[in-house]
Amino acid sequence: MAKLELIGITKKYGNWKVGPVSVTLNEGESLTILGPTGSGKSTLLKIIAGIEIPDDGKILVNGKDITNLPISERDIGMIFQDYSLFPHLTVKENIYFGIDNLQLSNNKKESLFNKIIKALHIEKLINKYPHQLSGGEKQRVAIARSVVMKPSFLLCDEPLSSVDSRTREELRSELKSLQYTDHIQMVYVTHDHLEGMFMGDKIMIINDGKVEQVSSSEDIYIHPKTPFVAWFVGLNVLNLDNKKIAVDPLDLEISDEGIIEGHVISGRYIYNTWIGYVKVGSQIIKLQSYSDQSGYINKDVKIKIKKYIELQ
Amino acid sequence: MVRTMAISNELKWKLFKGLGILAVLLPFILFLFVPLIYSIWYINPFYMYTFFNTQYKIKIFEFSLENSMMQGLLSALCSFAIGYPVGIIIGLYQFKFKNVLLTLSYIAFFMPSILMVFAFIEFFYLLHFYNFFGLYGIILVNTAFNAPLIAIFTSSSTDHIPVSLIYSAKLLKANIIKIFRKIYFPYTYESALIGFILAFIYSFMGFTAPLMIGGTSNYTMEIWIYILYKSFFDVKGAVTVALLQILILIIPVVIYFVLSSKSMYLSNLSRKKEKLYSKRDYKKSLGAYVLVSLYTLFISIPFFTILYYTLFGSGKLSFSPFLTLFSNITTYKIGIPYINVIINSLFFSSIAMFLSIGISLIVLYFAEELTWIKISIVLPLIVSPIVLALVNYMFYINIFTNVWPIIVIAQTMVSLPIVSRLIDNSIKMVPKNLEYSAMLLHTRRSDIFFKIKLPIIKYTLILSSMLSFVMALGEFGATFFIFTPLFTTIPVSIYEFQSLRDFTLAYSSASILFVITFVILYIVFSKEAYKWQS
Repeated sequence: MAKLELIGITKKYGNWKVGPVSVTLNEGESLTILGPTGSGKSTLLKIIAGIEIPDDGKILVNGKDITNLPISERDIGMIFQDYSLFPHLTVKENIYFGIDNLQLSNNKKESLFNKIIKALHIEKLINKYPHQLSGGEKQRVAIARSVVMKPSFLLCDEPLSSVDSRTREELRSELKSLQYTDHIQMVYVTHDHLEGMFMGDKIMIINDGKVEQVSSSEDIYIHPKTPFVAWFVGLNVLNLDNKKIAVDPLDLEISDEGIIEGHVISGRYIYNTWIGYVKVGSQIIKLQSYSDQSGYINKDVKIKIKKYIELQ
Repeated sequence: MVRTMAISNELKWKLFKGLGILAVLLPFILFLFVPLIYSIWYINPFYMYTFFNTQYKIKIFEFSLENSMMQGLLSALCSFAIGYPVGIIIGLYQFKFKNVLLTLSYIAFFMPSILMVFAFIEFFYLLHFYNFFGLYGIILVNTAFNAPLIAIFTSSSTDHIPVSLIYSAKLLKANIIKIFRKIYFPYTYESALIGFILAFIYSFMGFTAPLMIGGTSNYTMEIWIYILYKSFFDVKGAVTVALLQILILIIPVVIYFVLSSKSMYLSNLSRKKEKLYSKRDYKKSLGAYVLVSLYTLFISIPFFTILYYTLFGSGKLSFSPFLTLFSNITTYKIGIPYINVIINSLFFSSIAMFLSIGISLIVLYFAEELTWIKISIVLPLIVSPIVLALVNYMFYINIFTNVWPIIVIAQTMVSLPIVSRLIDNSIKMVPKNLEYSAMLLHTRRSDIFFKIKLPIIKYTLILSSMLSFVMALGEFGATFFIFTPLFTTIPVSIYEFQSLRDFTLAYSSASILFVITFVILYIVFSKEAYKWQS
């Protein structure tokens, strides 16, 4: 368990920059960096890993400055979106690639290997080459290869974005369980807000290189600080009496008492939830309801706001 | 404390890297810059003006420059006219003997020049067509060499066109001309242009073809450098023409370097395993069918001619010329037993291969990010084989007691630019994330290079080694300039036998060179070789 501090981290690329980013991750905590494509979240991860060097700021692990430490001397693991398995090595050789760099006896190395392949259910794959594995299997091996090194922090760069949704769910839960069982602290990068909220104790939302908000996942949803944060976590952002408000789709209701006028452009009742889209002026807002509202499709309606959050 | 340790490690690496770079530069300093500067100093740079005081020398220079330019441009244009459409068709269509055709194309390009010239001479004799000599013959031989190069480069780029682009264009009702203009051309023109420039450079520096079939009126600068030095004993004249040739070649070589550095599609000579745009029956397209058939016929001429003359040279199937080749008659004619000729060739080529691969790898290990070092490694491309031989011979003849080390140096420098570009481009294709992953797993820099990068590019390494061996084995110009009878190589022996009008021995020697070259290249480029690739 370790404490990670990013203090005023800045990285410039021509006229565009990431930061300044400051965040503290206490012992045992995991962080999710959430943001749209191109917002700078992967750059931040690369800076923590040492792949990129910041123009300004410091990275401290347990109080020690690691800002200029070479990659191989940082106690950090990383899982990439493209798996980055060594193509010419078998699964076993891939996992041993890191273990062999540890100063351990052969018995200890073997026991580490056996433990991790069991934990990630890859016992039957150990003699296969990466090209013989499915996307999900590849990512399991990549996780095993990094986790077996017991790094202070495991950096995950959108690790599940290349696998199918069912495998994604399984891997997500297994990664989460590693946080509990092996006490692995993660810095998890994703653009999927549900996945991000599931994985991190703390959420950092970043947009166009700037940090919009850092807080707990619950807090981010209940108290979004900016319209961007509210929009990114799936809330509707509306103007009400010259105020910006955020409204959960479930807190909007089609009713004659409504104060917003709009036109239902599409909708679908799936299992027990109706999801509909209403055009209000030039904006499209999302509605959710537990009863089927499909009869309103292509009709002008009034929408009632049951509850809202006032934005700054 | 941590930071101090990191800084000290970084300093150690910088020091080590500095020494490594010095080691890398040493061969270039010793075998390129120093001999070149020595030659310039030897002739006195001001002599270059006096060279043009003599009317006949001005004529020589004008003629040779005109010939080099003419042969370079015409050969490159003809090679482009054949190679580009063939390359597109090879990349575009799926057909049965595609791999064989590509293998033949590679073999044609890496075929020793003397073998190619020799084969064409015999082919036209076989057809009783005796007007083959002269400019047309030279262009034909140069095209046979370089059209396959352009075809290979173009087909490699065509292979990289995402199939979804073609399907999208077709779904958007684009016709074939628009698809070519908007998709194929933008994807392929760069590599075809690189091929065109290389074809120009190689043909401009032509030595074997103009020497053997050109006649005096078609002699290039390269040949005049040889003649000025060897026949007129005009060292200063030879060096002056050599320097002017270097200056002229700087521009195309710079363009080649810039284009090949930014080209995404010439990563290596390997082909993609899966076809992106497959299952089109090329027989349905008459034009493609005819073009591919003619091209196949054209590049097969040397192979069949040599095989024919080797086996049926005496009118019936006979292996007796080979027995003669290994008899005392050969010793009498060229000064050493033929077995020694083979040993010389294999020995020089092996050393040249190890040197060029070793230098390329050291460059990549120490100076992967340093472009100026990579430019240095391509510099021998400006310096033609004859010029390399000339300057190294002038400088080292007083240092080495034998000429063989100079032959090895020249052969190494001739194959180095191609080999190093191949390895460099291939290593660039290793995903950076693999390197980062290894670093995060606390792997040392040397282990990343030897355990990750090299195994991943092992196929290119094997390919480059074999190509370097074959290029050194077939190298004629530089070796011919330097050799003494004791150090005769197979290509030189072919020329010697031909000069002595002993065509039977020339055919036999040519067929031995052909068999060695063909077997190596076929193994390297055949389908089986891809099993080595991870």
